[in-house]
Amino acid sequence: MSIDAGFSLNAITLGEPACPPILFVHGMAGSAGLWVLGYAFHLARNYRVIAYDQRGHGLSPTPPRGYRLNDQADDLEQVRLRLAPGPVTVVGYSYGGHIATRWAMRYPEHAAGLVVIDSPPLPLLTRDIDDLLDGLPALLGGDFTREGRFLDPLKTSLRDDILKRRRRILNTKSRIDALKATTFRSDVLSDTAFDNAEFKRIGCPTLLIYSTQAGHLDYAERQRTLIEDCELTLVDGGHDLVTADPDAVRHALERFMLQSVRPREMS
Amino acid sequence: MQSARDEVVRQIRDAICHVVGPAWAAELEITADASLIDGIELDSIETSKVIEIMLEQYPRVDFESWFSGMNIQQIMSLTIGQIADFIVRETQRQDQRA
Repeated sequence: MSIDAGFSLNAITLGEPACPPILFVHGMAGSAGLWVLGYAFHLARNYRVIAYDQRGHGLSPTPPRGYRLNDQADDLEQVRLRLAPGPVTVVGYSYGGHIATRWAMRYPEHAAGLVVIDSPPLPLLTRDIDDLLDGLPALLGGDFTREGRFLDPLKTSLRDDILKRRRRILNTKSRIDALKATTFRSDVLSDTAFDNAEFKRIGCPTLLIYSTQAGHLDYAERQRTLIEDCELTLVDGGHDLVTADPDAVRHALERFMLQSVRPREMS
Repeated sequence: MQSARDEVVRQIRDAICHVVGPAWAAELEITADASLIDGIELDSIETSKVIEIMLEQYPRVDFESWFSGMNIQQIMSLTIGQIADFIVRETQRQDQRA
């Protein structure tokens, strides 16, 4: 799916075009695959499901620049324009939640709903980005001496795959290596926190789904009080709630869709 | 029956080759017994693209109902043969209804 920036983003759609659209935004170093395999088949009976790979992720190309939140929100808007040219509900996980939030602030006329799943406060921490861009490729390349809060759990869960140099490990490493050669690091670290006035400008129904253990509940509560039409749902567990407890996340999302999408918009 | 399955297996193999590209495809043993994740080592987005191609090729097959009963790990653990068997079975069922 080509966009105005002059390249194509990988996007996958399921469900009838006449159904209310839900557009999914993955987290940093993720891909649309999470949404397609974990959520889309359940939702496609009642909704038009769209998931895309952000620039520099999944099967989308890695342009040399353009990784600030405004750039990414504009990419999201291009996806909406081409695949669901009407009001949509946008669902973003982790860093994808920030992209979705920025989009709802920049394009309020197209936002039917906003769902933010466990996004940590901005700005992002330099240490975390260095873990992603330097530590993770080193670990995937077989260097188990690297330490970091994201890296430590992976040493166990991916150990066998890393030692066997499995294809998907090499795939992930090459994607991150490609990202390192861009302005990604400086771009994502230069994005500042949303201010109160920006949150107050969000006019669409908003659902926050936060994990009980990831440590972002103060930030979730701040969003809830600032966004006019906003509810907060907590899911037991950590930041991996979208894969660890997809049923809880999906049920919260489906409940929100039934409440926020007016009956005449339902097919 | 067997030839129908063989044809579907071939189409799935073509879809995988298209998604992973010729360089990787040449190194992979894409057989009916190979699972998407362990045998062919697709990641989740590659698996999604292969399924998208199957959805386009078999619009009458209700993949949504089948996959909605599985989690990510279960979908990615499917073998090419299991997917082909489902497509053949569903296609025959649709033909009988028509």
